[in-house]
Amino acid sequence: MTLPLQDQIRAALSTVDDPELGVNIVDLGLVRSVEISGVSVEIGLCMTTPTCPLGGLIAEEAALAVSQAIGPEFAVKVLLDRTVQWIPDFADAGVLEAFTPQPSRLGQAISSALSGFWSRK
Amino acid sequence: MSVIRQGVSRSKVPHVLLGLCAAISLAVGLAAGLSRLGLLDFAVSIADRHGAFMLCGFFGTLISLERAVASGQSSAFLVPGLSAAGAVLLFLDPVASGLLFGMAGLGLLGLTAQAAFRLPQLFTGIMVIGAALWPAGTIWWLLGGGLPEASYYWLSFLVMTITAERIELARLRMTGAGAAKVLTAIVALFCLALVAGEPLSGDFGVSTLVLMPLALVCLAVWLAANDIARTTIRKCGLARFSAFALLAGYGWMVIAAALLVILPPAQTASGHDAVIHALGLGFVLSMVFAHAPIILPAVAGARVRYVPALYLPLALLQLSCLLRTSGDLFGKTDFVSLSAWLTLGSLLVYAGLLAGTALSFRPKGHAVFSESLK
Repeated sequence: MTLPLQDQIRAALSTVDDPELGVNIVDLGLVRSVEISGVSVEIGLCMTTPTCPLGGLIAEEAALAVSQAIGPEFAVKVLLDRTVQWIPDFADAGVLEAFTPQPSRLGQAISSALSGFWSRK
Repeated sequence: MSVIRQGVSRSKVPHVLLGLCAAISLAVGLAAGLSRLGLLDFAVSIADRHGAFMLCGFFGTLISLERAVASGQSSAFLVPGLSAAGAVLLFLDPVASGLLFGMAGLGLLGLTAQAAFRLPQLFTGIMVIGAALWPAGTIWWLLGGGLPEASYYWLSFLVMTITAERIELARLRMTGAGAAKVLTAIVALFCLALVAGEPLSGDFGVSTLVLMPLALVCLAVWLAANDIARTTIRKCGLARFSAFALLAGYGWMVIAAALLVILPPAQTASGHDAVIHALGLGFVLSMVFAHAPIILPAVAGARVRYVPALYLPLALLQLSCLLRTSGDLFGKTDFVSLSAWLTLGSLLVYAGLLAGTALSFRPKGHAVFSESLK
């Protein structure tokens, strides 16, 4: 059984990592759209920041991964949209959770001690 | 309405040429550095410009190139172009070279301000401050101020730029508004220290430096606490390697702060040497080692990739920094000389390993990629 095309494309895109974070571009929320009409596939990507030079490279890798996954009969086009502003909320809850600092015992002790200084009691 | 540009025909030639200029500047800067220590004869005539080659010619060109690639506009390549031309002129005419670096610095300030305008956030703001410090130091130098003072401005340009790039990624950690306020205060303190003339002259009438060491320690602690490196060190491969290099870099920032107090650069030449290299080698070069396998493919089109052997040059670099700072601290010139060769060695091993991965790269196919510009 083969997966629907949309899922195949998403699966191929999730093999492409943002090299700096080690997180794939689907989970990171960089894939904004996947449009299929006939044999043409158009993928819209955004970048995490306008100061990051990696966008072009990630787009190239995404195009390569998708065209290898779905075969040469499809024309794959990746659009890097510099007008979309990525925000952390675009990322999967799991990704955000993994990066959220786990409060350590020492950290908690320090922060409770510090907040003691500010308390009005 | 968007303009579609076909990516396949997109030429990487300017990237490669500009990257090459930066690399040549690095090589020349290293030769000048060795001559400065009396270890090499042929670069004696430019030995006094070691800092300018490294900080402006290499890092200035590289960071401008990075920002130009990110902006996606062809005209933006003028900025690294000016900087590369400045690096070439540094051989012949330092004043003309300073003018070009100054213009490149203002250009970088423009590019960064443009990004900050599109995404007004703390990290883009800090990046703008960093970009402003490059032309600030250059103008100081052009107006007859000393190269040592200018070097601290240039080094601060790198410290602020790297800080901004790291907190861009720290956004994923969902740090609260409190952390952002603390960082704003630290950056303000750092800038105040710099404007007050620290570390070379400003001491507000007290004999020990206070502002800059304090700012550096706070910055290092803030970065170590908030950087995603603390999460990615538990991953594997490049992410883990980068995390090691990053955390080592933050450690060197603390050491630089300690050296500012123990060996004030205003009082001894070895203090200046120790602080400059704790920051320049320990912090900045560790950051370069952490990011090069990620950034080089994007900015120079070099198909390099991470290999675990890269831990070797990273370890050599840390050892070299340790020798450098302890040599300065205890007056052992042998240590300083050995450190210079070791730094060169670590860079050569690092570059050699990356070049090896580029040569063994097998293109997987042909991709179609296009880009929409506003």
